[in-house]
Amino acid sequence: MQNATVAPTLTPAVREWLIELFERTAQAGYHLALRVVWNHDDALDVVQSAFVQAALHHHQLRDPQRSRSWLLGIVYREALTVLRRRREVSTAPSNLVETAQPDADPADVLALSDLRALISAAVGALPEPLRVAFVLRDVEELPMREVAEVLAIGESAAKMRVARARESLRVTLQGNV
Amino acid sequence: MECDELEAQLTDFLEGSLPAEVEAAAIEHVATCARCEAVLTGTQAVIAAAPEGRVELPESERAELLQRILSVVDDSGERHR
Repeated sequence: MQNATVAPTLTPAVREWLIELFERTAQAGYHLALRVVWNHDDALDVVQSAFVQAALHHHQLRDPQRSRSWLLGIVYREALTVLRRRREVSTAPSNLVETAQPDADPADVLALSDLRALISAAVGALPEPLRVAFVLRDVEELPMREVAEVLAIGESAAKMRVARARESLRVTLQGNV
Repeated sequence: MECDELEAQLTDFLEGSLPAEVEAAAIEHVATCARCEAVLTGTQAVIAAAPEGRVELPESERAELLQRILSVVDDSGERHR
């Protein structure tokens, strides 16, 4: 981002706003980041970076009612940036976990008896665009409008991604949920 | 309503955003179609179970994360004074 757009200092009101936004959004932001980068420490870094950006560029938030989707949109873009950096340094791009996490093999899914682990693995096996849409709508329970805002796509496209994710999971988890 | 129409409208049906008459037609179809009834209940089961897949950020790490964020932001503010 351009330095020219950075607010010179944080007022107490903005600091308070940031803390309140963190309390409301940090959990969803962490989960969203984790479902993209698949690494706890990287997910924490992504969330930290996103909140710092939000603080420094808070004046760019035009509608305070949309602070959650605005912040989660920053988280999502930061997480994708982490993925792109990994791709740049990797000598084997095909091994990147963009479409599925390493332990999301269907055989592993079947071997898991715990519902939580079962769902987590099945969600992990979804392609990234569908996975993120599902996590936002059905796990973090954002309204479809906010899902669309976070992903910077139209609401009908968001619905399509959520629908495809649900259908894939319905087939994968049949008999287990 | 036919099966392919229900499939196309399923997300809106689950969102409760269909017009009343279309929603009524969907309900009527599901009541008489075992395949669509299975798709609907299976999808509802996925949605109901989805929050189980949430990975929680531990409270201690959450507090540390907030402190780190505030520290970076405060440092950044100092540099711009």
